[in-house]
Amino acid sequence: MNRATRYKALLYSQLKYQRIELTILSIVAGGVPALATWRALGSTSFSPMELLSLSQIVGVLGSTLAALVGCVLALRPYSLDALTNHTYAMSLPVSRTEYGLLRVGTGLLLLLMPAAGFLIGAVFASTAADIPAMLHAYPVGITMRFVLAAATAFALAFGIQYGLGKRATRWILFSLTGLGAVEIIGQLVTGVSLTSDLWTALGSEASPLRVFASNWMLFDV
Amino acid sequence: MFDRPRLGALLASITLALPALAQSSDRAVQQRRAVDIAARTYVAAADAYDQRRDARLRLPVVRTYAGLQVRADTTFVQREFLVRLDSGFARARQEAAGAFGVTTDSLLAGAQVILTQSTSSRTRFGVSTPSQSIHAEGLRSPSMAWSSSYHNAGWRTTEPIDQIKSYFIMWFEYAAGAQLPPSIAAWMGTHTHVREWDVRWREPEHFGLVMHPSGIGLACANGAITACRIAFALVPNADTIGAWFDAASRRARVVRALEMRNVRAMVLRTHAEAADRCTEIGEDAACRAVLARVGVQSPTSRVSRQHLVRLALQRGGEHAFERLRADSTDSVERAIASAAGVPVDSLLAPWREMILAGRPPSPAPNGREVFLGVALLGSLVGLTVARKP
Repeated sequence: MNRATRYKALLYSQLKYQRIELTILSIVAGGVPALATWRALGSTSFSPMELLSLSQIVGVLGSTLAALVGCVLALRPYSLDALTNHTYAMSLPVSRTEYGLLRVGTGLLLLLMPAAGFLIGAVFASTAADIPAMLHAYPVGITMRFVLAAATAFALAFGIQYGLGKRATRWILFSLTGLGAVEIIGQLVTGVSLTSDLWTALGSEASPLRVFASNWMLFDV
Repeated sequence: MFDRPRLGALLASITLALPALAQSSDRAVQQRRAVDIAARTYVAAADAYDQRRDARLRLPVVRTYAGLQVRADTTFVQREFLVRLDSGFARARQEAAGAFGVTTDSLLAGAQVILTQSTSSRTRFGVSTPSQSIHAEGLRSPSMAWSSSYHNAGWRTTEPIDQIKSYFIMWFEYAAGAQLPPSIAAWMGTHTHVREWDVRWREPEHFGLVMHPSGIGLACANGAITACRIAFALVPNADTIGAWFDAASRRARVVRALEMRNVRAMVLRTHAEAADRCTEIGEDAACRAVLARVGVQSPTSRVSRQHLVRLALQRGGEHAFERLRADSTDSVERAIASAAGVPVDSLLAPWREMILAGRPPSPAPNGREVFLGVALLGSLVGLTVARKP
């Protein structure tokens, strides 16, 4: 069994077990741009400012959905493996490293399904809405951002889940509790936020997480 | 004259009214006292302020830069800082000369900067740390209005020279702005720019231009130089309302403006008849009158106009600002053309290029974002799969 065959087998099994989730995510992804702008579809009474506001809603929903897609595709296969104490993974004639890389490959390929749904929804919204001359539609650009954001979320979730294994939940809870405690103590004792620098750094241009927060406009000037 | 019941009622009324009368009299006296105290306090504060100002004006002159006197409290401001000040001014003067040419050295003549000690405290983690800095009370100039003559700075003794330079540049800009002819000042405000327009600040200008309801700004952004000229309000007889909107649009704008309650109330107070004639029979003169009352936002802001003038000064060379300052034609277009030495249309094309650089990019991730995403994916996956279970 060569590597391509193993990849196809793993892809098939993941698709089989996650088909419902992927279908739902793809439909929701397609619906986000269309539903967010449905009031403007076919209407000429919408002002450019209203379209820009609707575009911001698409951005917020799109970035949230991208994060969800990445997490679902990274975490769900692990939890399915964990149900059988990873016997499936261990029964395969591959090393842990190769198994991990195959999982990354299948996850990244499958996230293109919701991305395709998002692209279809964005193209539909862009063509059906009556866009004023001063605005431009960016269905492809925003979909590319969706793919990168989903891949970033996938990388983070995969790193945490496969790196920490069963302890992942414990570590996440521990980290969140620690952050919350530092923030609360900081506010109570010194009256200032001790974690604000962390959030600033995470949102800075040098942070890969900025992809979730920067330009997500389906329509823009 | 009074029968007994009436007399009784009168006396009773007076008796009942007396405390109220006394109270109101007391209140009036108290109010007068309060006003008196407030006035005295104000006068005392103003006197103290004048005394402090006079004391600062008696500080020794430690530097003179092209007629700009720097007075300083020499017990606090040390020689090392003055050396930084020299470098800051030299760099600022060099940059300002790029915009103001031969007039640069006369712009700050007669102005004063006063350096005094400033004490402040910084609170971090609940701990208050007192710090001392240099307070630069900037640009007292007889040629500038009192209200706009302060552009203060707070400097550390180790302030970076570039930061000091920025303040000198700002003072050059305000001093030059104060010398503009009234027509130019009314058109673009009393500020000039030495430095290039930061791309980040062009984005809102681009937004305002292309989103202007007249469509003039959009036509300008799409390359129609005549539309750019109109967007800059460089139109005959300053008829911007006529140039920006046609008759139907003027009427539509009035109708839309009158839908807003506060605007409607304002218009009806002074232009009720014109508003009726505009909305009911579409009389254009009435619509213009109402729009003149309501006001119409320009497709170009003052900042855009200031940067058009900056282009003119750059194009015009050494004597450009001198020509702009001396212009007495009362025509903005002629003044700019005279300063630049070329017609205004020649400046509008490069200005348009500048404003188009402020257009927001496509939401497609840029190279840096892709690199960071791939790097994160590669490093996390690499670390995870290489780990021994």
